[in-house]
Amino acid sequence: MEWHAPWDIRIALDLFLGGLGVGVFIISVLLNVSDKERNSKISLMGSYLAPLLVGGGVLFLLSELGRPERFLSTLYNFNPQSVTSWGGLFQIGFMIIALVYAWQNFKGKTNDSTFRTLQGLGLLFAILIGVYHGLLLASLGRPLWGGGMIIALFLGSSLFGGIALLVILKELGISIGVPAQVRSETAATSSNKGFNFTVLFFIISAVELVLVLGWQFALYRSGTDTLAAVNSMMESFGGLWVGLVIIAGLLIPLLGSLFAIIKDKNSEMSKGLAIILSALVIVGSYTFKHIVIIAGQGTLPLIF
Amino acid sequence: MKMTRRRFLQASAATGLLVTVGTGVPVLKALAESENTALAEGEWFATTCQGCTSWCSARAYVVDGRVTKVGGNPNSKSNNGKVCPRAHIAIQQLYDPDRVKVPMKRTNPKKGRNEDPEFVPISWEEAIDTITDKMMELRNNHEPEKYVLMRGRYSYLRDIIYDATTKVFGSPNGISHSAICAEAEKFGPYYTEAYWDYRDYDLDKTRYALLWGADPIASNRQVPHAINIWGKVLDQATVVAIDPRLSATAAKANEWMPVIPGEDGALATAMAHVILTEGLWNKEFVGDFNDGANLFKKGQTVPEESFTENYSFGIVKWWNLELKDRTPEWASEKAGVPAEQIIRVARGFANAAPNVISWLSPGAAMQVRGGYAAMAAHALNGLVGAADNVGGTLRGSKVPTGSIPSYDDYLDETAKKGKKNKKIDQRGYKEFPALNGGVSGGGVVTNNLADAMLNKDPYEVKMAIGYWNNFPFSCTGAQRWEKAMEQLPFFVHITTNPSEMTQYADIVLPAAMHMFEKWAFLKSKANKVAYASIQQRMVEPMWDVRIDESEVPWLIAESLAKKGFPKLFNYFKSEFKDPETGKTPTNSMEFTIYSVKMMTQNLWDPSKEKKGDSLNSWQDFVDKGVWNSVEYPYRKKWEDFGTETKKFEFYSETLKKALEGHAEKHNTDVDDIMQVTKYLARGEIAFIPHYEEPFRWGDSSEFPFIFFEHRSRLNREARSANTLWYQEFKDVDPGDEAWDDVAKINPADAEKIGIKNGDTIKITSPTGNITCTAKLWEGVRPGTVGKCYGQGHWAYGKIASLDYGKTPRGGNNNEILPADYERLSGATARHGGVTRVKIEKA
Amino acid sequence: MARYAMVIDLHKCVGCGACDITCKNENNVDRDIFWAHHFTRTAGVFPNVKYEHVPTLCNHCDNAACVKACPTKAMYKDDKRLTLHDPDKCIGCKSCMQACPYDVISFNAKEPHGFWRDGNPVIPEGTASGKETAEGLGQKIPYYNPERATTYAGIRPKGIVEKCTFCDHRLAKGEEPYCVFSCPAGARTAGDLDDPTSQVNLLLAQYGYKQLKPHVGTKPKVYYIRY
Repeated sequence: MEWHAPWDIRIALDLFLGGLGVGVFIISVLLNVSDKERNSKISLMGSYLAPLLVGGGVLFLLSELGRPERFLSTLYNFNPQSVTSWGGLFQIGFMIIALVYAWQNFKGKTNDSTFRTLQGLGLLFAILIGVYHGLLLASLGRPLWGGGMIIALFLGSSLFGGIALLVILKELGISIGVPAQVRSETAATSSNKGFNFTVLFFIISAVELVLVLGWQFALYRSGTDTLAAVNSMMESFGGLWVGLVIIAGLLIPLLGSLFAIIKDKNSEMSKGLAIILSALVIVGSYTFKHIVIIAGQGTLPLIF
Repeated sequence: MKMTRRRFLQASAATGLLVTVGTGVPVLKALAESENTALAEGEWFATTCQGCTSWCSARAYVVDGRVTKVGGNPNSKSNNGKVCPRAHIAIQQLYDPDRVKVPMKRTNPKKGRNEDPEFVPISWEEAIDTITDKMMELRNNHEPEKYVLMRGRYSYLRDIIYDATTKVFGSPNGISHSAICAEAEKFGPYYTEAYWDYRDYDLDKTRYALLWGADPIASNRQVPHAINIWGKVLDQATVVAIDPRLSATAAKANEWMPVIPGEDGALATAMAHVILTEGLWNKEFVGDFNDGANLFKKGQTVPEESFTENYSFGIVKWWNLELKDRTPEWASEKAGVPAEQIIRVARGFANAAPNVISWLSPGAAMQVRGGYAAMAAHALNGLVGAADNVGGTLRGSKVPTGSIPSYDDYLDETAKKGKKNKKIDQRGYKEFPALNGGVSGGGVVTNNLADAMLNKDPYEVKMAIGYWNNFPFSCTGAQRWEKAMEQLPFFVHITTNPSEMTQYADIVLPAAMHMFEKWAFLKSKANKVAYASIQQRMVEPMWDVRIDESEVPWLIAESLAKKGFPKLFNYFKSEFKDPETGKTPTNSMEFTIYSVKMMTQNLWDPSKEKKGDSLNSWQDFVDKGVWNSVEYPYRKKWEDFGTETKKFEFYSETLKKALEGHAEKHNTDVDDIMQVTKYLARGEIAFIPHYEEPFRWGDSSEFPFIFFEHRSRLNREARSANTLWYQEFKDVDPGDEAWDDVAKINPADAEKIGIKNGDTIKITSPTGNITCTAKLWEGVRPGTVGKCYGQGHWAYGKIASLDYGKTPRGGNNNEILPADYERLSGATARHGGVTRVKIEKA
Repeated sequence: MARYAMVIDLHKCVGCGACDITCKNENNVDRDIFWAHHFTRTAGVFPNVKYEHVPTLCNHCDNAACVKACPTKAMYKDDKRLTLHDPDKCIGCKSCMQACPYDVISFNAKEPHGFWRDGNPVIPEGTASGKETAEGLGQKIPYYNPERATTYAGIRPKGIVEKCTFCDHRLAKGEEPYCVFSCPAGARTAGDLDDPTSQVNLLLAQYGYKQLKPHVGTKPKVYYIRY
């Protein structure tokens, strides 16, 4: 009999899309708050995308459930000890907030206190979801998912993915559903000051790379269960892990953004480079989550 | 609906038959309700499990006309109300989706492994009519001997179909399966203590168990009792498992002696050597030197008159002829086991004596030259006084069942003449002494039937009926059986499943499943108690089945009578009576039940004297399901073992007489008989337990590995491979894998030939090849490859075969095991590394 | 209230698999799903080889990871401290399977017992089929045990998990779990840890014990003695 992981690709897609969604949301709110003038269009795009991505992830999650029609029972049969239970709550909460926030954006009602409250609440739920992803895995006690680092790793990967997705949108100049006044505002501002994606890229890829390598190093130094788990992961996914997760998803973006910063620390990287690096980041982020989720479910010998 | 057994019997009396006729529509549909209705109260019915030859008294739980569970019979004193895993699997045999549900006839006249028989359903009337047409043809041509009844597994109703039907019809050819089962094992105790049967073992009181290939916690004999008591045995006794494989029992033993297959005789004679040279034999049983000084010194002969024996015969002859040179060092070379271990075990065994068991199994006996190894291993029991003694090997108490009524008055001239013909299996031929009971040709040579049929020697077989057997699967040299069945003009198979043998049938008759749909009784023994145990129809069969051993012969007899041969039917109708009412049977089911009642009357009739349980009526027997004897009395046979000398024979006058009788019959001498039966012994050695170099097929340069096979704890004699539970839990056999058929290879060997765990491999012997999966396992002796019997079905059903009728799941060992024999007993030689093999990646 | 536990005597256990089979029988468990199972280990090099067969089942942990992980309280501890599962609350998220360190929870990815819905005979009109056999008896599986349905879904439907219930339906009638009842070696003992005179406590006191993965903190209640 072949072994099948209880959770298949759909859970990886849920955590990936959900992560991308909250990453996009967090960055877009930060852009809106920090540098509204210059990034309003991209911030707007982010507010639309976030509920779509998280919602898409939830759809994959639902399709993975044996009884999707009972999904809402996680609310009334709520188990406070269960991270999965909290996850349901966070995702439902976030979806509501994010949809209202997007609607407000679409309507251009971006200056009232409701908008600010939505931003705050949305930011809170987005972070909770980002944390929940890693916490879910950590709470299940499987060796590969043990230890707290997995939480930071998933959150970091989500944020990085969100940034990358926004960079792509920005560079491709995609704008849908942008209210007229925003369109004009954007046209008026085009200085090089303020928010710099390239620096963010550099910083976060450096942090994430250190985290990933540190995590792996820690696993190799842990107990037999964990060592067996990481060895099994590298046996099954070693090539993808090194090639896509480490090199393509982190090292190249790190070096690329560094190259751009050295060339001109005040301006963003070139359009082509930005798109390529961002695409790599997204691919790397997915591959990372996929491998960790699938490999983490491997069966381990029972021992006394 | 709650079905009580009384209502069943009433129903049977009223309707004549308990099954629907002709349509194959299940009768219970109307009674059954949908799932999860109000909880129906079930009822336990006693029965007997025939998953192996332990034949345990069991019971089954019936809810709404369905069997839902199986367990041990709490009334049984032999198995403590326990059953092994086999019994539970029987439920999936009962409800096997691939059961034959109606009689069928072949429409493709071509027979062969790759020929679809193109079976079509027919009525019972047409099926029986076709069979009796063929039978009448033989009688009208005055050649009834060309009819053969091939018996497989059986109950004690067997004599109706196997003996009476065959003989009254006029054929001598009731051919049993016994010799593919264990006859060489019985040869050992017979030619030492005149007991041609399985022994009982006093595990409860034993202090040392020496297991010669025996795996009692996994396979025959007395498995549930062995499982139940094993913890205690390990607490109080030393257990030594002699087996090339780390068997289930070896894994739970104190010592494992991984013998080279076929070299058991070297170990047994060397242990005897140690016991004698160290003065450890049992003085009470065997006697002693007249002056008390031990003259058994390595290599030195001893004057016979210096020793006085008590209950044994020929100890000094045995020493002088054989044992004096059988040192542990010599045996170590032969058997691949350290001399120190041989000495340690021999000493331990003798020191714990007489409460010890030298437990002989087919593994150490069913070898081409295994007869004498069987004698040697069993003789150890005599040497230490364990035969028939406390904590030793025992015989069984008497179970006073009756036999079928005499049919002598029903034999007509054609029958009398026909049955005088030689039996078809060549038993008693010069090269097939088959010395069951000391008589030349006294036993069956089952597996040789295929060659006899192919060679038409002694004559041609024109029709055969087979029941509860599957010779093209279960006999070594299976391909010969395929050929023999191909050329057999007319074959009837009575079977539950469309097995390999069924593929060659002209008529297929669906059989009642023994444990739940049949009326019969069995006899066996374990835990010092002998018993008779019932089988009863506790659920109405879903399919249009008949009971193989009683109903089918009734239907045949009835039809023969209509065609002008009424003798058999008259015999059935006149001689079989209900002992309670005196009524004679009017239909096949009454005939069946009266037969069981008659033959078991001594047990349940309170007016009959017997040593055992008191039952007050037939119904009491059916309800309790078992009659237990008193405990077997120890040392019952010491005064007269029943041998030629009345003693336990180390020099077998009994065998001498039998061999000389056989030689005389063929106008030759015993040396010549030894020669033609592939034995190396010459002169007096032929009459004593002794070492024989193993006979193996295949040259070691071409075939580097010695192949051996073993049994599964889930095998119901190769009839369970079509069940889910068998496949899902096949890995309870140490080293085996679920849903697979593996050859176990030592990792060191595998590395040499570049085989990895899980590789698909081809195993080739001089006579055939099979494909299976490689399993690298330390529990198998380097130089050997071990594989479980039971998988490799190319028919039988959807689970047993990967593609029914075409592709087997794994490979059948019998296709690489050559057809060879332990000829003195007639047994098929399937053990002892009878063949060498080579292994390649497939 | 009782605190049920099981003691498995590995000295008596011969590894025959009767527990595995009879569990499926009692609880109407589908193929490829195992409430009771085993693991085996072969250690050493010929001829010094050790083979172990260790039966496994739900440990009914005092600190059950599956109960913690379940988002809908479908997995719960009952008043006998058994770890039970409510098929009506289960959403089939498989979190419990991920959390269980013993791999004793299974998911019904398909409509169960498809084997008994297969209507293809190997010999048309001549042999039966799974479908014909089951339908002829009016059951989803021919040997369906209706007693199972008194405390749990008789057959667990598609989309939810399932696991050993310590035969709570038998306990309710004062009977032992079926694996205990049908073990031919008498290797299994079920009883109440809170009762100082119970057989399980006596065995644990007499022989000492091992548990599976004690370090993961689940406080398993299947104890192995005389290993």
